[in-house]
Amino acid sequence: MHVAKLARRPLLRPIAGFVLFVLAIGSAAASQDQANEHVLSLWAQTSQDGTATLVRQADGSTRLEWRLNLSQDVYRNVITAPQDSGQTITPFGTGDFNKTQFSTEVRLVSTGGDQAYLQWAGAASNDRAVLSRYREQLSNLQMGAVGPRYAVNAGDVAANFSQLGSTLGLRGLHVSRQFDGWALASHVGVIGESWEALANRAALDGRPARSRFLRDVYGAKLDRAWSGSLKTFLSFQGYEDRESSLPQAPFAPSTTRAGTMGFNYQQGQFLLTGEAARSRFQEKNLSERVDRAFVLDGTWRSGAWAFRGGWHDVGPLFVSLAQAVPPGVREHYLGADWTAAPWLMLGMDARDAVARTAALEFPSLDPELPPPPPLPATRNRARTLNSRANLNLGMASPSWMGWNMGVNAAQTRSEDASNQESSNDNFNAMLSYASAKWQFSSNMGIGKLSSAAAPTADSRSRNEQINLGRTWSETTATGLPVWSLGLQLNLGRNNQRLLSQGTSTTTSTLGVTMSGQRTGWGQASLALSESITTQPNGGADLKSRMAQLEMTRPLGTMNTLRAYYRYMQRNSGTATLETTERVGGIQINLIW
Amino acid sequence: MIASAPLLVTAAPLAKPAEPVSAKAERAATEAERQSQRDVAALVKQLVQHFEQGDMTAFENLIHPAMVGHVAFMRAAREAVAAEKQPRLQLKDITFSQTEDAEHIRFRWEKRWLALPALAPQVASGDATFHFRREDKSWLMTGQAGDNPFARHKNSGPNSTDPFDEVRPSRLNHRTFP
Repeated sequence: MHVAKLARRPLLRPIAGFVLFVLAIGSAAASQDQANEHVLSLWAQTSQDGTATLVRQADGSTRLEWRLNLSQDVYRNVITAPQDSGQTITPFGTGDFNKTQFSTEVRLVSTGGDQAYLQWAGAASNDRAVLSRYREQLSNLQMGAVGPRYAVNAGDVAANFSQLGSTLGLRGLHVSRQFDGWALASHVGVIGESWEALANRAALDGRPARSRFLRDVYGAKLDRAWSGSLKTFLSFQGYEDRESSLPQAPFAPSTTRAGTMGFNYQQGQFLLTGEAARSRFQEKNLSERVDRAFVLDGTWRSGAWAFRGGWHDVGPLFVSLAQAVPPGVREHYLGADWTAAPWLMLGMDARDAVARTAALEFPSLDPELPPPPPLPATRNRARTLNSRANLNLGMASPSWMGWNMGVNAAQTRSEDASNQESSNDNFNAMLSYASAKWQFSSNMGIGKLSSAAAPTADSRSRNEQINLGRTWSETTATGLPVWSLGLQLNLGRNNQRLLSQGTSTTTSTLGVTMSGQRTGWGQASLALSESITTQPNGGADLKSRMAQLEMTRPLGTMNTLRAYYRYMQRNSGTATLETTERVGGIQINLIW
Repeated sequence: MIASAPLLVTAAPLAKPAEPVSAKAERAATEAERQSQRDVAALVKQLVQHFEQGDMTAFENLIHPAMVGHVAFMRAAREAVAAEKQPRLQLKDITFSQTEDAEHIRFRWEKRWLALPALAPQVASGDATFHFRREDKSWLMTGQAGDNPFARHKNSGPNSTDPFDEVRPSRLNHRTFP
């Protein structure tokens, strides 16, 4: 019903006008949120094609080259949001903004293959939605030298010893050296939220530069290759918080030391890795806590089969420099993929996980006050089963060339610390077709969520989506592209029934994207979409509307000029939610 | 929620055999390494987009099968998708460190959504670090530390600091890992 409503709207009129304006049309799609695009582009910018290259001279020596990437944005935001909503509805504010991003790299390669390099990336902006705390930010600073048997890196370095050993980014020094059959790696440095936090630089929002202690870290790893198949390693690492780095912290500083030993075994298509670790963790004014962790993972490919499995047991008090390893996890998994026929692939993954927390007490941060109440131990369990099938129909019959079909089922069962059960089941089916000129895909999904602990969240959902695309293009006799033109249409509907309330909410969307490019001229795209969301508790429908225009023009072979405009009206019809965002700007990207 | 084509992932275990230093030196900061940064930036963008669109099949395809805590991470993401309507996740203040086959990125995030059943506007924020590893020619997320943006949150404001979060036992390891 809602899709039908949308279809009656005069959405195609502006498209017709745009066709006259567009230089050419290709495959670019409108981004959902240009804000993330801004931030991520800074990160990706350091890897643009224009980084330094070296030219080896005729006499065998090398020449140093450097490259600088500079991107400058100037844009205006016009934002209207409900009164007194603050930043709850939108992160953006009205005003004229600018944003400068740069990255540079200098590299020198000697005749023996040794390299020395320096790379540096940063940003400056007066838009707090891009850089929230500082007008300028150092995003990455790294320098070093690498040779056939050694590597020395300083600045923003990444230590990747093993799963349970040092796996983190730090600001400091990382050194590695290889001997016959042996390899030694070591790191020392500090963990801080940013270079600015490290320098304790005053932030624009008036809050302290640091919200956590500066943490001094160190570690070393010794690898031994016993044969071409078997390698073993030992690692030792630890940290110590600098108590003075965060006055009046709401938590106590701590120290940790952790040792690990592990192996890697690879024989043909069989790969097995394992590691055991032990840590000693201590918070100020509390006794030392010792715990252990074990991991074992393997994969094996044999003909049409591929298997994988693993077992992880991380003690609830295990603390290492494996930054992303959550304490208290005990899990195992088993999965397989089977290419049953050239046109049929089947896969399955089963997982069983227990998350544990230990009973903990906390020191009083004020000697005159009693310590906070201890926290009890908890334990919850979750099991998942994910099964899937993918049919490449074109492999079954030439008349079905380009057609694919897939189904996926994901089931989760869990029990919380109070033994209350919850379940989450999802099933999706997909059919798609792709050729040089036409693209089509349709998706259908159903979901069911129930929880004894939070029955208000019990719901059933149903989703449908259809995408249709058409491409026109011309190439030269040698196959080089001259121009391309693309048109995409998508329709979607999502319904969620809230079982405890007996109500439901439905979101219907309709979108059109036109894009294209012409060699030497540039590229352009226009995206238009509308959506309607019904409110489960009644009230007016929430209507959203989006238009995004973007044009990029090459300036020479490496530089570009880009203009963009985005209009987004969200949730019109409800005074407490209605928001309008207009963003228009120009960006120039220069490479020296 | 929408679905996407199933991707059959058979990634190697996370702990790969140690690579000789000489091989690393030869590949250090090559074009492949720079390409990796673009790939990982695109991967982060895809994770955010799939989460915002509720496409959890595509989302899970970007997570390493051997990631420690895989079940809890995916369970949290699926519950968040079911409970939070119109989620908008904004990333800012990104910093990163990298090697030729691993990347760590740290960022601050703000998430805005409409909470069921009244579709009340909510906002939460936090600091997170994502870890990525190269598997053959593609990259996969291998871990997450700090505040997980892909989980259900309570309304805590755009500049929330929750001291209790810092001393939660399950976050011992994350306490001062920004």
